[in-house]
Amino acid sequence: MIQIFLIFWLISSLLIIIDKQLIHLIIHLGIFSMVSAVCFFMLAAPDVAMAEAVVSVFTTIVFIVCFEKYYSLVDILVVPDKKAKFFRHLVPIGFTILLIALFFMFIPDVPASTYLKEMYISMFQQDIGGENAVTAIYLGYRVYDTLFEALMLLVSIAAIIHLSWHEKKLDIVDRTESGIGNYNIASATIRVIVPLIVMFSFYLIVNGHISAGGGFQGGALIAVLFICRYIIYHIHDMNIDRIIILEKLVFVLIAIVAIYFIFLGAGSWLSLPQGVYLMVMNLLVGIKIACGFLVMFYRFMVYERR
Amino acid sequence: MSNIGIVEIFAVIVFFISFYGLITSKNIIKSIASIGIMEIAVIMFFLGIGFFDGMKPPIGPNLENVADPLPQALVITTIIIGITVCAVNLSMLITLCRQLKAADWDIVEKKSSE
Amino acid sequence: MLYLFSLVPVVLAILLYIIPYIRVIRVMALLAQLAVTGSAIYVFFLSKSGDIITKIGGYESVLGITLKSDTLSSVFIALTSFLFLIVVLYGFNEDSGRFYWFFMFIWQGLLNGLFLSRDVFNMFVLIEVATIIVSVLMMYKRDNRSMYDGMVYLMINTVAIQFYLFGIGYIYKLTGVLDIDVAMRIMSQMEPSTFYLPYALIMTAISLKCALVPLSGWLPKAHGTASAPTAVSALLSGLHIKCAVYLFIRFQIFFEVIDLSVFFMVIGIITGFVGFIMALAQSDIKLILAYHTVSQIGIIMLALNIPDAYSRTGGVYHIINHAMFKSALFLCAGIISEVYGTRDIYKIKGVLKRLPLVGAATIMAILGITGAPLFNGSISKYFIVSGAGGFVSVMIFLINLGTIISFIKYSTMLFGKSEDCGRVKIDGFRQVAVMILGIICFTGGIFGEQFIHFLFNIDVGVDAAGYFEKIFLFAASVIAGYVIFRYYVRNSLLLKKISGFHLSFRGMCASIGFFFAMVLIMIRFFA
Repeated sequence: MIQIFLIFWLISSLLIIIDKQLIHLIIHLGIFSMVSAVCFFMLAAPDVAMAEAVVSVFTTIVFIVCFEKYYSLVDILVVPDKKAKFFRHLVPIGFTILLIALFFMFIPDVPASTYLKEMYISMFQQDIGGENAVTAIYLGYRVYDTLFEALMLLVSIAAIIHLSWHEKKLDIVDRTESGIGNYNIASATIRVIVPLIVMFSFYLIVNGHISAGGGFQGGALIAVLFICRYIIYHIHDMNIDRIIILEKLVFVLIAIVAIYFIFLGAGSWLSLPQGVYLMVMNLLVGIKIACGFLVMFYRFMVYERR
Repeated sequence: MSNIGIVEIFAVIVFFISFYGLITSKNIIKSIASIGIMEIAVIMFFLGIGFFDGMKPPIGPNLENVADPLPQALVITTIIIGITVCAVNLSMLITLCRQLKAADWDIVEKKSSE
Repeated sequence: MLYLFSLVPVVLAILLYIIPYIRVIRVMALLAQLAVTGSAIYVFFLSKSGDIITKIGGYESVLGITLKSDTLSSVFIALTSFLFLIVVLYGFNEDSGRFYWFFMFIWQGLLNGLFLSRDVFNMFVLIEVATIIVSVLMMYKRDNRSMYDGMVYLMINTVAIQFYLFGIGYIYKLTGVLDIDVAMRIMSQMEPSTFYLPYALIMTAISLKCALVPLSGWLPKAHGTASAPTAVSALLSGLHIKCAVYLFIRFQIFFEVIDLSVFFMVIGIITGFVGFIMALAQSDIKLILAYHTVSQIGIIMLALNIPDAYSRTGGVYHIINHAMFKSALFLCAGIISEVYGTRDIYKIKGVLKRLPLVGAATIMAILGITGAPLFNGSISKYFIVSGAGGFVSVMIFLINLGTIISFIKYSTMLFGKSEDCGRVKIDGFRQVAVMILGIICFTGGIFGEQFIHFLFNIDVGVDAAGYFEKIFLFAASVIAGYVIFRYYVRNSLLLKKISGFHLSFRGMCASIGFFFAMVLIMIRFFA
């Protein structure tokens, strides 16, 4: 079963590379992300599949904005079709095939070690709590990584704001030219979907420690909710500066909670029931990620598009 | 070749397909997309480590014959790093597009050094 | 408590971002940096008596992430916090926006974390965040050129880091752990041939980060980009490139079963030559310094691969020395180009008269980088050569000769007559920062043995007769260098031709693949 999807995956990646029409990239990327998410699910990784699915929403939006700017700003040169193109591609194709062949020559034929897997599976319920081993590792054993990953989002948002063309705040945002809301089917569908998204995202956050999902996936979905709201009503009445500050404060809070519970191991003498730590962290990470993606979305949709 | 899984083979091939995209693409947007593909290929490889058909997700009270949870936790981190790098790259590109009115490697290189 | 080294600067950065008053930010930044430097030195003294290990969460080392401060990493941390202190001093009166200190402090936290971390995946995360920060800081002023350079830097490093990620995937698959020390123990019981592929993947990524020759196309763009803040260029060349070298040292120890040192020695020699030849061809002072970073990295790479304890110690000491004189040179170049309004070396004249202290610091740093006797570069080069064979010593001598020629050209700007000869008053903090680095270049040479003993607990002796021989060699090479510069370099058409040479992004990507294939083939035949 997985083989079929992997072949689809390969073909969709080839489509992205081979297609000459640049604008098709958006659709191909969407297909690629979807097929990868399905493959991740088939590989018994529902958390990762969900993460990839929600993340691809943002990738698509960001690419759409980029293409919009690209086609409106850049004078695209029409290159006449050359006949002898095949030869020019022969060298890179040959080089790539050579690299693949070299790679396969050296792949070690050794079974994968399950040393750490067995340890995690047998110990995470006592050490961290909850029933989701992935969340336990993500927020428990390797929370130090997660802190830097959260920092990555924070830094990249600061980077996007700093690098953006617009320095000053926008006073009034008039978004009448946005097209999507004018289509009745789209807006009606979105209206029906929104409550479901809300419910599902909160389910993901609150139940992150016992079922698939968690703060990251839920938080990103909450951001999707706001995106839907924006698409229907064309409003942005949120104070982005405050969201940015909130994001930073939540990051500090995450760091403090993580240091207190995991680094110092102080959770044990508070005698909290198992899983409370994971719930708190999921909630905080959810808020953090939601704020982060929201800011990123607004930057691209409202500032960069103009 | 008995221990090399099918996922690994596909991941390596897609990794180098995106590498091909990087060494041939004339457009910056396509290069950025190629980097994204590369990342997902590596992610696929991670998830394929020690995977056999019929494995269950490492979730729930009954944990028998489950997939390895550690690569999954690592991969979530990788995914968010990937999206942020992609977003930063694209926002740089948009600013560059505004200033230079170009998004092709050759033209951008020529114009930016003026 | 080692994790505080990486987390405290990050939290401080966020605090600095939230505070709206620029004066408060400055004072806070300086005080915080003093505190961080103090604690770094404290940890350095602590880890002299034994490694400090922090297991985050108290789990077994394989389950969680282990931080460990041994001699090497504590030296690097002390170096990091010292250089950041200098940079904070340098930028104290500068009007740099809110984001500047925010990014700077996060960068410091990440570098500290990288030097302490013992977990290969954790290193990946830290490198990636640092890459974004560096690219943003490089294009801090947002003009076309630096925007393009920053984008190329970010993209090529992201491509390379995918190779690294693939490599650690294989390490995890084969050993089942991500902790370096435990993985090494497991690896020692396995066939070395199993690890050829991860070795090639990881070394390709690290070689790109070190800017070894086929992969060095991004470095002059990144380090020499015109409008990057001076302090950022100084830290990039002085410090950030060293974290790649640090990773190289770590992974060389990690993959001790695979010995490819001859290959990397050859690559190091080529890197050294290419670096100074390209530097000779430039006329932009920042670009000259950037290409010299390539050349010096070649020497360091060469030293680290010589199978001799003396040479390796010399190599590590050269890393520290290079950090000192290269950041001094960059900071001075920043002041000079600001005062003169140009970066063209042929248009700047009479720096010593207009900016005496800056000129003095530049001279000390130049004497350091060219390996003049009594200065720090000479000590490290002396130790590197002492363990090397005849051929390698000649190569190092030739690279050093090239460096001397190039810096004779560089020092022409110090003398001569400027149009307006009046002294220029510059900010006192900047002068202090530059002078500290210059003086360290001098003391690092005079007390070289003591410094090495202090830093690495290794007793070395400088053989007086051998050292005197080096003094004569240096004097001879200065004369030879001057002659070559006067009669050949000044009006060489060949150099003018190659000055514009650079690789496009596609070319750099292709060279990554090429290097990867080369490492694999070399392992097949030589390891």
